[in-house]
Amino acid sequence: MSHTEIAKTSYNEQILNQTSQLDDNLFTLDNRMKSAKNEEIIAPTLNFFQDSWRRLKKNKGAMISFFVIILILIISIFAPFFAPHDPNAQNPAWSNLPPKIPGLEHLSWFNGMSVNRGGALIDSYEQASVPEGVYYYLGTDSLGRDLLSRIIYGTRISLIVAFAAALINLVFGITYGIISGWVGGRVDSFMQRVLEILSGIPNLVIVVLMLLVMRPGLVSIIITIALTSWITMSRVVRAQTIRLKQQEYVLAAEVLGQPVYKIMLKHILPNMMGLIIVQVMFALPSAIFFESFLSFIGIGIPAPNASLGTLISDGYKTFRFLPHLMWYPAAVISIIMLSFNLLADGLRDAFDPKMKE
Amino acid sequence: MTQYFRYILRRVLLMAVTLFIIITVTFLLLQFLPGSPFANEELLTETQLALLYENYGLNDPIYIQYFNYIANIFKGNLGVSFQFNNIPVTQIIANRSGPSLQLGVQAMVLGTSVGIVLGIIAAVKQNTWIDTFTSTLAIGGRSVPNFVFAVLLQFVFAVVLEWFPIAFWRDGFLSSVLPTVALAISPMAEAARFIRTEMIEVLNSDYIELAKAKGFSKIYIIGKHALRNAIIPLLTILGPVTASLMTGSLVIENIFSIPGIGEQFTKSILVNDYPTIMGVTIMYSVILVVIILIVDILYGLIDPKMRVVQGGK
Amino acid sequence: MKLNRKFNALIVSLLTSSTLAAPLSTYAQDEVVIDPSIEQSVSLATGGEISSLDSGRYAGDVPSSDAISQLFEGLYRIGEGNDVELGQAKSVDVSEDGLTYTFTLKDTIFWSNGDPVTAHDFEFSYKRLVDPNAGTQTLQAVEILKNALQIKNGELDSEELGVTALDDKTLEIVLEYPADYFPKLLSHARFLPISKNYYEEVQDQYGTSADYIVSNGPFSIEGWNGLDLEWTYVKNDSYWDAENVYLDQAYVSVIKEVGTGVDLFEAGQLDYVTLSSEFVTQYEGSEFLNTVPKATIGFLGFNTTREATGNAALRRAISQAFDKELYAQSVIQDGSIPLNGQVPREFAFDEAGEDYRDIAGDLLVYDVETAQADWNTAKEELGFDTIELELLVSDVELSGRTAEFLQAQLQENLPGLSITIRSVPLKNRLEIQRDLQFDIYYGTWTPGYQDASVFVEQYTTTGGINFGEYSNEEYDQLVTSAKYDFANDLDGRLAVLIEAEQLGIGQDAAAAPIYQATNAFLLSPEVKGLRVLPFGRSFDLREVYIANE
Repeated sequence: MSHTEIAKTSYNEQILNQTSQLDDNLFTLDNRMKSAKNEEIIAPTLNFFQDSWRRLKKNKGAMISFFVIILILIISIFAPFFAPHDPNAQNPAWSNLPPKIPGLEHLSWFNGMSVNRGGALIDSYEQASVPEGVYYYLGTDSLGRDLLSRIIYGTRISLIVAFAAALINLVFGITYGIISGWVGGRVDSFMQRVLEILSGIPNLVIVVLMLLVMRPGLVSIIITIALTSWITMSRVVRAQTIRLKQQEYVLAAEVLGQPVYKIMLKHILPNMMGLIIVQVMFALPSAIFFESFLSFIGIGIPAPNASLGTLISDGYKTFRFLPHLMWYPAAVISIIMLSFNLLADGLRDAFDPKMKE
Repeated sequence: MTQYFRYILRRVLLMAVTLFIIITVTFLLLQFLPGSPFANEELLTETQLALLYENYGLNDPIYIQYFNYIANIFKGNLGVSFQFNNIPVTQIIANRSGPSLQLGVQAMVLGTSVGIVLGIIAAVKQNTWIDTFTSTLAIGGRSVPNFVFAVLLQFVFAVVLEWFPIAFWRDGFLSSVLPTVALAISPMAEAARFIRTEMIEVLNSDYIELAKAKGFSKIYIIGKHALRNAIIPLLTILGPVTASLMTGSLVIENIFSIPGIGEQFTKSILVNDYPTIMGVTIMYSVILVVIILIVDILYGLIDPKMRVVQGGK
Repeated sequence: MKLNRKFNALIVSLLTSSTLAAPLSTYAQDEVVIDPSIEQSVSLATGGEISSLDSGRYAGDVPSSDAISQLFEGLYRIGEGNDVELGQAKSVDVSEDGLTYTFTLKDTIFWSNGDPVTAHDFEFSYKRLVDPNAGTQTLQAVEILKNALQIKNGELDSEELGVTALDDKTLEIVLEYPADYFPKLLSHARFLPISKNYYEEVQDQYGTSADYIVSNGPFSIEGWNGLDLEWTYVKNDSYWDAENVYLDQAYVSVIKEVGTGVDLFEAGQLDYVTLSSEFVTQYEGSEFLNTVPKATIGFLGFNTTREATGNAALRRAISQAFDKELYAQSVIQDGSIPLNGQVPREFAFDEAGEDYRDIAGDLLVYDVETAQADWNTAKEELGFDTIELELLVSDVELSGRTAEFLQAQLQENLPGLSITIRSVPLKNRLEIQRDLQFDIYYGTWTPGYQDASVFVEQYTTTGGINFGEYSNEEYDQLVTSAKYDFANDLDGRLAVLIEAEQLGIGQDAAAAPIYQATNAFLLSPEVKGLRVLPFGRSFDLREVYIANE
């Protein structure tokens, strides 16, 4: 043991005197600093989705929309249970009846009356000799079919068309866009040129062509709609991919040797979620509208099935004096779209960890 | 600067090639279009049909028809319509495009500007009732097909209030108001949603925080920085939005009895009027390709990063 | 007003009668008093654009034929009660055998550019009409002219047509077979003349715009450049009977949405607009609503080359298994009536004036029992229990609803039958029919002239709308005999046609008749003298004038 020479100052004398008072017992373990506890996380662990769900729940609008959508999905999936009548059962003698709901007859909307040309309020049900106790909650269409039932089944078909088309749209669009954006250079240029050519050919020509060759039916319509709408998605995805490619964490991942597909899955895609969701939310009504446009020119969902699009297509012409045929299907579409969009917004916000809470 | 210029030149050349390919592909597609322009309610005899085809040059092998067609394009001749006897397709386009283009441009301008404003408001007041309200407004516009709005607008503002003409294109600008509004609702909704999403993201980013810290006013921040970045993705959808305006105009033109080309185009497809279909397709394609070119140029101007990536240099 | 009521009665009789009375009656018009303070102009709606003003080249569409009919006049013109009277012709001489017509043209007829109308114009127009190299679209009815069929098929040159201008004002027409409806045929838009001189001046441009035609009819046209959605008919002062034309202008607009048209009518901007189903119900009882029977029929065509639809019992079963009355009342709703036979009501009459349909009786009426009996026969003969058939329709008004209605009715009344609906654009449907790629199709058809034979002859082996290739030798023979063997014997001819119809429709169900149509339209009460016709042109403006209620 060697000593270093310590200068004999008064200050040093003081310290040396104090330190001799130290002994082992003065040092106790501070329980607060136990390493295990140090690492303890006060809140429970959440993965990405649980975290997002938590945030989503705070957004009232989105939650309401969520439940509305679930409700609509249930009703349309279990349509046979909910529809009061057979949507295809015709009763031409009782065509174009206004809505009538038992118990709500004091409201002018649901009393089964309509104003005739002369301005008088008449009981349409009576005029058409509809027996007592037969109600059509939302009225009937031009062939005497129950509108409510047709709307329920129609929603089902519209949703199928929309989701299927959106799904195909998603898969094609994202794949194409990400590859094009990531690889860049010549391949990207080429892929974009191809896109330009494809989008330069008017949708209408392609669609009508395909439908006339393939015969209009649910499947051919879905394929046709999907094929003509994925281009937007791919463009948007590509633009985002290019932007994100520059981000540091992506560069870091590359440097660290992460395989490309992992980078795409873990870094790029999640950061585009917001935009993708918004795009999908637009693809849905697009699909429905395009379908109603097709039925407007005569090649939509084949009869007797109806979609919300065809119902509106038929109803808008006479909305002046048969308003129920247009308003109710339109209202249903609006609610669906509104819910999807609010939910989409909510999801977008929930997925983004940078969001202020 | 010359590098940028060369970039533009290259794009223009590419545009021409693209156009050429589009024309070719459409031409080929039309060969598969079922139906015949001469199908008549009364059966034509084989000889009569053969003679009709001969007269219109439809008997020649496809490649000959194709070459003839391309050669004619360079002479400025787009052929003659089958439906309107002997009227050159160029005349149809010249005569009918006016109203459609006017409506399209007006709808685009109105829709995007209102949409941008709504989007900004929604983003800035995110998650407040103002946000929900403006968002609902925008979405509402997108939830129902535009012809529903068309008949409503027509009923309320033309029939009941009599502020605008019920139909036709006789009253100049006034005639275009209602159809423009009906057409604009769709672009407005898309623009609003896009801007909102983008703005939210941008508003949360670091350099905005920095700007705020520096004490710039909100409006300045939004105008100078946020908007620039948010507009970029909007440009990407400009092309397809234009395309959708074309189909959208069909029904609107019908309802308001406007002599436009949207309705004419659809009809041509349905009656197999090949020259008209080709002619209008070419017109649409030119418009679309030019818009994409403009978008690319704007990209280059707005986002310097893009320029580098695009040029591949 | 006394005058008013009288004229109302006249209009009612004009609009509802269609007698085959002596076709050459002259027309004496009641004194019409015009109030000079009232503007003599009318605003009309039409359903589509004009494809061409060339009577030989227009696409057979209604808007074009309507326009052409106002601007040109043929040898005959529309007179009282849907009859025809001499128009450009001063007199006519018909040979004993009914095959040769010699017309002497008036001296006072001119084209709007001052040229006189000559027999050469007519000769030129008709030869052009049948010439397959001239790019014209013809009516099957032209085959009544001598050699027309061979010329159409390219076997003879167009010079061989049985139409000759003997001099400037004398025209000789030779027919293939005698036809007392020939005068009516000559008033059809296809048979209206073109100025030979003028055509040779402008050639292919003829008829492509208002600047490229000359008219010889009561009106000329302004403001049409070939593509317009609006144009005006202006009184033609060079018309020989101009002093009896009261209307100064008629503004025509193309309206494709009935709703818009109705709005414009209500706002006072239109005086005439046609209605479709629901709108008719809405206007029931209104003073503005008018309904006039139309000679258009709706029917199902069967593809007789396919196994199932080639079976007569099956066809009969289907033809009788849907409720036509319910359809007409509740689906079409515009006053159309069920049709039980090929020839519609109020279209053809015998010498005594009795309606053809009454004489011939009803064929293939709605009767579920008989239908099911036939259906069972079909099942036995063809050996099936369930069968699927495709119904082809096109996107014309109401065809979607009709298809759904039929589908429901047939599937309910004929157990084992399932119907799929295929809806395609019209041109496409016609092409599919040509190619025999269908089971059943739903179509509508309007005849070109007024005679029972026009309907019955459609199902001869070479019949115009016989897409289903129904072929029966006996039927063909009957129709041919009706054409050639009964020169002046109307009743005899009708009897043979009735027999043919019994065979082709009643027994063989070559087609399943559904309904005959009605023209339903809104008309301002101030508009007088408007003729709305069951076929050919939709309306005739020559005698229109405006007066107060």
